[in-house]
Amino acid sequence: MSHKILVIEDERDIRESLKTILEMCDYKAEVAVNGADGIQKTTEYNPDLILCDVMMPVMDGFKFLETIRSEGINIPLIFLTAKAQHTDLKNGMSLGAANYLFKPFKSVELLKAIENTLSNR
Amino acid sequence: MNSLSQAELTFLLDSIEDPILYETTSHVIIYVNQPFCDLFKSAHTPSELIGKESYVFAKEALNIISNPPYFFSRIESCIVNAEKVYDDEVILKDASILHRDFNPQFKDGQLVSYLWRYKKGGQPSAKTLDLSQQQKFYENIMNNIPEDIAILDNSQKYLFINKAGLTHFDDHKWIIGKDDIEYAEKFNKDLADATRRKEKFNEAIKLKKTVDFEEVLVNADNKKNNYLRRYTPIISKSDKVEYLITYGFDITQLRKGEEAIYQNFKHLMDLIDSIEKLIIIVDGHGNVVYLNPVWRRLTGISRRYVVGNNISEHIKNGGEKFLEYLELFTKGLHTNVHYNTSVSLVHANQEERMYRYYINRFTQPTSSAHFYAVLFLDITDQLTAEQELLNAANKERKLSELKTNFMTMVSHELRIPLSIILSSVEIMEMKYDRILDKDFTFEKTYLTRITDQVDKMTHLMNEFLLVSKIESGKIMANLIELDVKILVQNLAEEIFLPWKDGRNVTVEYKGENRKILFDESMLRHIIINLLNNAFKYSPTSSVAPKLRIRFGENYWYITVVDRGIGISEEDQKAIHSPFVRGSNVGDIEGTGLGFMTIVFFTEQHNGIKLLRSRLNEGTIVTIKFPYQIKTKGK
Repeated sequence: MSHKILVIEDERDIRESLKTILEMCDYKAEVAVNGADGIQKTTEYNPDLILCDVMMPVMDGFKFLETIRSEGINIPLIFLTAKAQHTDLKNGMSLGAANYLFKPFKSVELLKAIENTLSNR
Repeated sequence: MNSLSQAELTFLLDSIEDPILYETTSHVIIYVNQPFCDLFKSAHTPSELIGKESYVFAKEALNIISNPPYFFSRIESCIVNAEKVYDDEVILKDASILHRDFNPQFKDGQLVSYLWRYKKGGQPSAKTLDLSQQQKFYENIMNNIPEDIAILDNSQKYLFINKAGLTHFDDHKWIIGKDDIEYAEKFNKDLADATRRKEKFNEAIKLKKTVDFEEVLVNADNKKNNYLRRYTPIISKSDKVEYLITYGFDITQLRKGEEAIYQNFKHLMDLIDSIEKLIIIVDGHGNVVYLNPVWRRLTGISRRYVVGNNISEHIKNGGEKFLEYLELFTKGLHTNVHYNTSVSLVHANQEERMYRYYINRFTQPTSSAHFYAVLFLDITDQLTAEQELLNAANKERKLSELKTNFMTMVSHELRIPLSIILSSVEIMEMKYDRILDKDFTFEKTYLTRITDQVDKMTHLMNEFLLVSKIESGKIMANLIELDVKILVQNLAEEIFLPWKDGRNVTVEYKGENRKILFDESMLRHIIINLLNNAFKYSPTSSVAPKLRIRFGENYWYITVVDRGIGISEEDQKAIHSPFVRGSNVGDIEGTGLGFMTIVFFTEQHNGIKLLRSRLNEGTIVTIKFPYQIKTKGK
């Protein structure tokens, strides 16, 4: 059975590309447009893994992770960030992210990170 | 009572056995008796001598008196004092003693006559005997004292003078009973000196106090000498000055020394005047004693309006602080320069200028008083320049911050389109890969080119961002304990086993593995960059680059060795600057920023980088880090 992945990303083109790539690689993919939307989709969809942008309107990635973790949801999460500031990332990781990737990243890197995370579960 | 007749009076007088002389104040004999004539061995009878001058006895006196100068000076002294004297001892040549009474007679308050009475008899008193025996002894002592000593009677005649007092022994004999004026006249000395001594002598007599004065005398060798002369009056029981002791100290050397100091002081003042900086001399309270001419030139105020005033009255700003500081300085509580404060003076053109001051203490030689020379240096231009520099630095820092913020913003905004391009291209590649019955080599060639360029842009953007952060000082090492071996192992597996051209890095460890304190991302950056360079610049070498980690006692080392194109000696000097690359890099891609960031991160960890390279032979880079790190900035 293929894994379910939720992509939370406000940038439409990236969001759709990611969904396409994941589906081409035999994952089931669902999307959300920001953190708040992500919370709803997480509950509805119950994914095996979440790919999450950091800077988003309404609710950013850090806030999203904080929220779901506080609700006892322990689904592994990989941040996809355009931020190159390490300090910010440390914050994110300390909230309980499994990994992070800097944009732009290659599909190979993304798939490797997903595989690693899922196999460590 | 009826007055006596002349006959009765004569009878009475003649019956007195003691020698008697009664004379007018001008020494005309009124009465003299036979015993007096006998005493002085006069050839004349008393009646022959009446009406004659009493000096006739003087010649005879020389023959019978043991010390004629003293004898005459005593007579002179009695006359000058015009007081009754009893039992004055007179020593005769045969060592016998006479006692003499002196009785001046007044009529209507006027001194009119003297009565001299000698009393024969007796042996010399024990005191007189001692003195006469000891006289030579004391004279001997006095003559051996190198300073001049003399005893004068109360009419300034010499009773005694020691050898140092006069140069010729003849003078020494001659001067007894004479005064300084007589001496000056006889030996052609300056009368002014003698007159001055007379004045000072009279002063000592009048005040009955010691009088000091300085005199300059020309010696026998024609040299001028300075003497401190002192007259000390010896007061009798009846509060009269009996005689004076005078002595003179040769203070020529002292005066010469003082003169030299004074000359030096004058030179110092000349120097102060010639200095083109403002110098003000003040006392310990800041009262102006002297100013050099620069004052007038700067302020347009005449110096004489300032001398005597307190310096703070002429300081526009900082005057009180200056006085406080001067006080501390006078107490020795401060050094001579106060770097943090300055004073301002208003110039003739009404411009206010800032001065830094330096204080030096010196002692005025003639008065021994302490003064303070204050040197004022105009630092207005310096302060202005410093302020301008500060402003410029602030501006630059703001600009640099702006640049970093801009770079951060741009790089963030660029990542989104780059992400979209990359993912879109990859989707197309994946799509082509899945269509197996058709050849898309042509299409895929161009898609790969897009991917490669996105890679390059990403890399460039990351480097720019890093450099701009380094330049704005925003990057600081975040030290954590690291296991280098694990970090290197992970890195090697991620990137260099194999590198993109298929070669595998060789990793070596030496020494006992130790935990180190380091910023993790900086260490990753250093090792990745060193190895990337090693691979990149040895493209045709069959030997893969080597990474060696060595743990020493106090330092640990990273060494990367390649057999690549090398760096020329000239390029090695410039390679740390941004955008500078070796001149032999050819088509090999790079930004020229890598080395600069390695150097920066190395410095952040107190490391020292060593580069050895030969063109076309290869490069060895060694970086040495201490285990103990003093971080900068934090």
